[in-house]
Amino acid sequence: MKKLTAISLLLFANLVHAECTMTQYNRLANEAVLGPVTDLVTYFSPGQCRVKYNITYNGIQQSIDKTYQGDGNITTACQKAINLGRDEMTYKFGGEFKQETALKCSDGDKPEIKPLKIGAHIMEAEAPTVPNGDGYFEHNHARCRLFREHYDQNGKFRTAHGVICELDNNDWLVVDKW
Amino acid sequence: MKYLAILAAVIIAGCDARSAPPRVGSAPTPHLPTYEELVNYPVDCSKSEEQLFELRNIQRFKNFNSDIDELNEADRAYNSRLKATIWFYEYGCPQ
Repeated sequence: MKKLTAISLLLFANLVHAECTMTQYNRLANEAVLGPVTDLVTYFSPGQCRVKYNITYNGIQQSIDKTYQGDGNITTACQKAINLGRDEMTYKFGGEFKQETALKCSDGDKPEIKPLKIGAHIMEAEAPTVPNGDGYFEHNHARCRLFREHYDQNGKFRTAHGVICELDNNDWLVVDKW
Repeated sequence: MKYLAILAAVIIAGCDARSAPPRVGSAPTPHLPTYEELVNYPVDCSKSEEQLFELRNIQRFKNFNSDIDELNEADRAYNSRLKATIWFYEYGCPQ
């Protein structure tokens, strides 16, 4: 759980600093995993075509036996029979959706880094740690630590230090900055 | 006679109070160290109470903007050194 929280924090921090947007979408996975028709046998007579074939779905072979009744020559009628079988597979395994997440970051523009301000409520990962810092210390009975950030102020490279202290619910307060 | 003396004393005191100039900034100006003096400030954890009192007095007197990006270079450096020294007692001295 702690690892999950830490990963979430890091991900969030990256999103904040890199001006990225995360988009979630659902994709019907059926089409991608339905294999080609194999071992096809056709039985054609005027007005109908019966097909037997094998097809793989998610790597598992399925046997199809389908008949199309209607007008058409051997090619069109049997193709329709094949399609009926494929459609049935889609219906049978329909509803299998895959959720995917896309992370889009601006690659042309400079990411905007907003310096931390005193009084801001942040997540801990938003405050960069101080290399070789002494870790956490206690201040007013709260857990605190130093942070150090680098940023651009109207073309000037700036380095600032500060202190953040933990409030409740993973909420951290920027207590001071210099 | 006694009443007259008391009355006179009250009147004189009242006149004094009215004519006295208003008191502004009654706290004495603390010794303001230069930036270099601040850099060499003799931090001593055993004297944290009195040293912090002194440093916070300087801080109150200077009254720098809390947004460091609004400060000029000299003030920014002085404020930075002052705050860093003050916070050292929190994380650098045994609690």
